[in-house]
Amino acid sequence: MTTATFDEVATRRTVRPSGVRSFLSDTFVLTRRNLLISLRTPQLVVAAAIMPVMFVLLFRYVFGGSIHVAGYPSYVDFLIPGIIVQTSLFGGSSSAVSVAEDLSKGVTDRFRSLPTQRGAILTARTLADLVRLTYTVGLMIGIGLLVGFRFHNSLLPVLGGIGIALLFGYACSWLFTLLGLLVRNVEAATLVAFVVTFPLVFAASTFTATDTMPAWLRTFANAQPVTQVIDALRALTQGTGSAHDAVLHSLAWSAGIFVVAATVATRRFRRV
Amino acid sequence: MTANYPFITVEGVEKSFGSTQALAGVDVEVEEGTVLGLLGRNGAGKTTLVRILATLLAPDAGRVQIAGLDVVRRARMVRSLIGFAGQFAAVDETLTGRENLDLVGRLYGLGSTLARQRADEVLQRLSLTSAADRRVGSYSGGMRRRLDLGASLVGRPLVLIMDEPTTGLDPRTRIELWTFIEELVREGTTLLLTTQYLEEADRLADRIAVIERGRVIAAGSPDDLKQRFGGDVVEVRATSSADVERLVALLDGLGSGPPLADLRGQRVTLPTSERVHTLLAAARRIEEAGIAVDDLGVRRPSLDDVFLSLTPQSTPERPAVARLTA
Repeated sequence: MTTATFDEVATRRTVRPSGVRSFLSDTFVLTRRNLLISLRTPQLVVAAAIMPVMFVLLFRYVFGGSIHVAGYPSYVDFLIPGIIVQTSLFGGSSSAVSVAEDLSKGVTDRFRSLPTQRGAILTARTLADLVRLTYTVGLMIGIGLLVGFRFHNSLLPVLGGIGIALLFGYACSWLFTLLGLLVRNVEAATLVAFVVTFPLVFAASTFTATDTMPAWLRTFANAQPVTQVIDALRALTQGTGSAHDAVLHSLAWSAGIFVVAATVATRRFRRV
Repeated sequence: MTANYPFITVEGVEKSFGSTQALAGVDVEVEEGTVLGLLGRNGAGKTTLVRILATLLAPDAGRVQIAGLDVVRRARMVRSLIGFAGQFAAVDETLTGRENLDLVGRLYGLGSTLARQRADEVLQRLSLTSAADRRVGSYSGGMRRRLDLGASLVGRPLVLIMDEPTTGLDPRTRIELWTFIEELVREGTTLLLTTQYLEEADRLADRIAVIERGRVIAAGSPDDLKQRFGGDVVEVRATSSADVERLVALLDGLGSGPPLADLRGQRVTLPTSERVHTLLAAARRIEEAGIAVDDLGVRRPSLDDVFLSLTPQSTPERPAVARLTA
């Protein structure tokens, strides 16, 4: 008798169907929420832009005069692609902070207690970060053009290069999402993100060619993804040398990071 | 609604985190349209149980059903039936009250028109309409809590699960929230709430389960519990707080248990099974010792007394000097 009553209860309610439609709807609604929060937190918008701008000015005008890279008569053409990829990585690290913040404030618990597609919660996080990243990269290109940076290739490879950088940033924001899920606390997330990003950005071809580095460092710098992505972006925007290998390596790295980080993060998310 | 059948069933639930056992075999039932108060101290396992009910955590062992649906295997269906308000006001400060509720409605799968309608409805119900378009960052603590509770109502849940809904609120706001919760229950919502406040459980709950170290150590209606564990108490209020310790020593051995001191309230309470006899004996001793008292009487036990007798905070040999939280 009781079972009948329960069935009645269950059918009386419209239980939300799962499927692609609810996934897309949830992702859209949550991405909008994430972006709205970013937009209304001026510190975030300004902070995302201020660091890379400082780096552009520092390396363009303070250090730039004494850095000479073979094949680049104008250092700024070498610098800006590096800055763009650096921005992609720094930008992605804000994912870690936002994820940790939502977790510690109980917002994630609320979302997970609703008939939401759980995958949509993390997807929306990374998509919002991709939008933010695109804005910062656009801003960097604008600043670059102001301080003398020029594209020396046709439109298609240039767009391809920017696409590769954004893709890498997107893959990394899954990695940072995973970090945020693991540390769960805003301060720790900020610190861990910094510790992870710093060597990747500076032990790379970001600001100077890797040939002047000591052998051990050069080996690391040339092997790691940031150098690959920067080299691909440089080759595609400046028409210097063959982009083939760097592009392939970049895509492989991005795909690898995305698949591993997204899988582990999604699995981890079930048990937070 | 005719027959009272268990709407929430928790059977033999265990949950450990590493080597810490948070739940060590919990059994609880909540009938439709009633309120179960899960009473316990910090770290007793309340939040773990609530998180399992809200499908946020899977139990290691045991079975949990809401409306006949297993919360692990049919989690998605369960989520459509429940409303959950966690321990923190889980609302976005940079969004307005309306935007917060609207978001939750959309995540229940409501279309944008219906979601907006529900948000308006809830805002009105919680007297937040005038603040609806302000950012939550400018809300008071009580308003945030109300909004958070509102968010759990957007889906018109059959079952509400609330984790310490009034912790950290000022007394006035707490009473406001109680009134509101009582209204919801009158409309037929089944409610499970956790609390550290005995007064809260006494006022809101039809049944109380006292949880301690991951086990339910007592369950029943508030009156049951008081009768079963409290007995009557003789209460003495000293004129001077300096005499409280003396009164404890003086009354030791007279009642059915050790006297308890409440230093802040300058009171000593003594459990008894023979009310008049103990009262007279206590009065004689106090008079002989010449201690000035403002009040002396027998009363029914409060939940504080119940809680203290269930979860002793001092060794039984020594007269307990427990500090009651008023």
